[in-house]
Amino acid sequence: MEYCLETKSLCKQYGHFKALNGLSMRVPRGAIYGFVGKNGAGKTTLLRVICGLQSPDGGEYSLFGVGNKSADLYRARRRMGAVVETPSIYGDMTAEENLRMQHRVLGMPTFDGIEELLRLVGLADTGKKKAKNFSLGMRQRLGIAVALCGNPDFLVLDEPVNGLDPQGIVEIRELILRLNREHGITVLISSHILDELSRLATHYGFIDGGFVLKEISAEELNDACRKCVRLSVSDMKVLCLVLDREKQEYKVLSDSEADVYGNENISRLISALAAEGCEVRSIHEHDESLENYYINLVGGGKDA
Amino acid sequence: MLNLLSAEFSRLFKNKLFWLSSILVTGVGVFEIVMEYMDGKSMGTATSLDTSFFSFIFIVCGCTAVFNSMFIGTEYSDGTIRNKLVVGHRREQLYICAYVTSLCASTAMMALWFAVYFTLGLLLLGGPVLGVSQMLIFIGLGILAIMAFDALYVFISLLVSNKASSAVACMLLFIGLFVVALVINEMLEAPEFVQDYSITANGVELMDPLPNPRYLSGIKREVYQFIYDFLPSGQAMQMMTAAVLHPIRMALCSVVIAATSVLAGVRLFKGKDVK
Repeated sequence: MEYCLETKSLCKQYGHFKALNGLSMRVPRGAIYGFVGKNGAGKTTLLRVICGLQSPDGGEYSLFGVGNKSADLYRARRRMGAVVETPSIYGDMTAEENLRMQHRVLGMPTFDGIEELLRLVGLADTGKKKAKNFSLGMRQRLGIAVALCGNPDFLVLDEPVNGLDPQGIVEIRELILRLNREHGITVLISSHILDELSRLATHYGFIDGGFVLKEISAEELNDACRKCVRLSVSDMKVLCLVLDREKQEYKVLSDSEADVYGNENISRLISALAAEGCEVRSIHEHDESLENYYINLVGGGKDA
Repeated sequence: MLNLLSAEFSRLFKNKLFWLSSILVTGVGVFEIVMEYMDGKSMGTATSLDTSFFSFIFIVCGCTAVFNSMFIGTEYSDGTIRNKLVVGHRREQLYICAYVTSLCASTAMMALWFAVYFTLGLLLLGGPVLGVSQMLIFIGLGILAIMAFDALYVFISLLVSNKASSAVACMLLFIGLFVVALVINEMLEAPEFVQDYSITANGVELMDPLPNPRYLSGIKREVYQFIYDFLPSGQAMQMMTAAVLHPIRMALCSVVIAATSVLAGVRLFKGKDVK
């Protein structure tokens, strides 16, 4: 498999704090890689390092197979765009002027494609409005447009939906999906909004304490997340008795609710409970979420 | 590098502070010429172009202290410096590019000052007392001093990520260097002897001159003179008072300050963590 980004035992220390502590990860080409971790886990530090904003204290990384110690890394960087933390745009310029600036920075011979790019991110009608007067969502989209100048193959986005309203979140999500599916751009997204990430990512990397705990594809994650049936009953003791008799795996959540794992025949279970005088109040199919998976992985009790 | 320069120049020409600084430099130039002309008229004294001409170093350096810190600081405050690093521009290129842009901005301000003085100034104040070659040497020294100042401003502005902090630091540096130059100037200007007076029944009588305790002599004077020549603000003071003693030393000092600042700045900037 080809990788846009590979890191091996990356380390970065701020004073006594180890922001990256031997971090290794691989972002496959064509993926939307969700980089999941709580605040302070090292997500932004990693993005800063791979974007060349900071140097690693140890370990190595490669972009498109070019190592960070190679002189060709600067050329490899031309194939990437990034929005790290806040969108990097000139507040006193319009959207078009910002894109023209980035075209100049990249040494592109013409300004062709700017209109198309503005249309792609939904900023075609902003006219002479200065970027400082844009809404947060517009600024975020303009930041992505700037990162897309030069047609990068690899896009790095740090918390792209942070602080956006629901409409803005949907717009950014659709934009990222379009970039990945229609333009074949590999996207690395760091986020702690797991629900949002689960709608986008094809691959996940879970980071905690400066190193990646686990890398997993969305398919593998779906397999790993166990389905269950959540039952609400009038008598928990009876439910436990019946399930023990049927040798079913289950987890009691309260004195009226329990999750039942495995492929239990619901009709048979309800009949068995009714025979014992236990009433079933509600039944819901329940998937273990990405959130639960993450909490289990990092040991629980911590916010993502 | 050329791409970066092209981007920086396009930003420079759109920058309000640059145009404001340019207008300020032009305005101060016109104001000084007119005031000097009116003073000459009212007092009946002769005026010359070079009396206030060399104050351009002070004016331009003051304006560029604010301009550089704000212009470069915007790259940090808006985060746009990241756009350049992410797409593979080397840090040394970024640094040199910032310095070249700063020099161009200063040159534009100087050009406006020269334009004002060599048109309106020549008309109202007449020609310079200094000879042409001396004028050219002083102008060259002035340009080198501004280059040294710019190098220091760029050093501060690129290494201090906070725009407000770098603006304050640049202004303090500008003011501090001129205050030091003023103090040294006063010390060096102190006369070797002071006249002593005695009041008698016949009136005030002049006594033999006494050695001035504040007069700097020997090694101490040499050291102070060197500092005065070394500091770009000291050089500016010498040109403003048309009392340049060591032009070659001054030129070398400016080159050394500029080169050292740029080399040290590039080295430190290469290791800087950008956020």
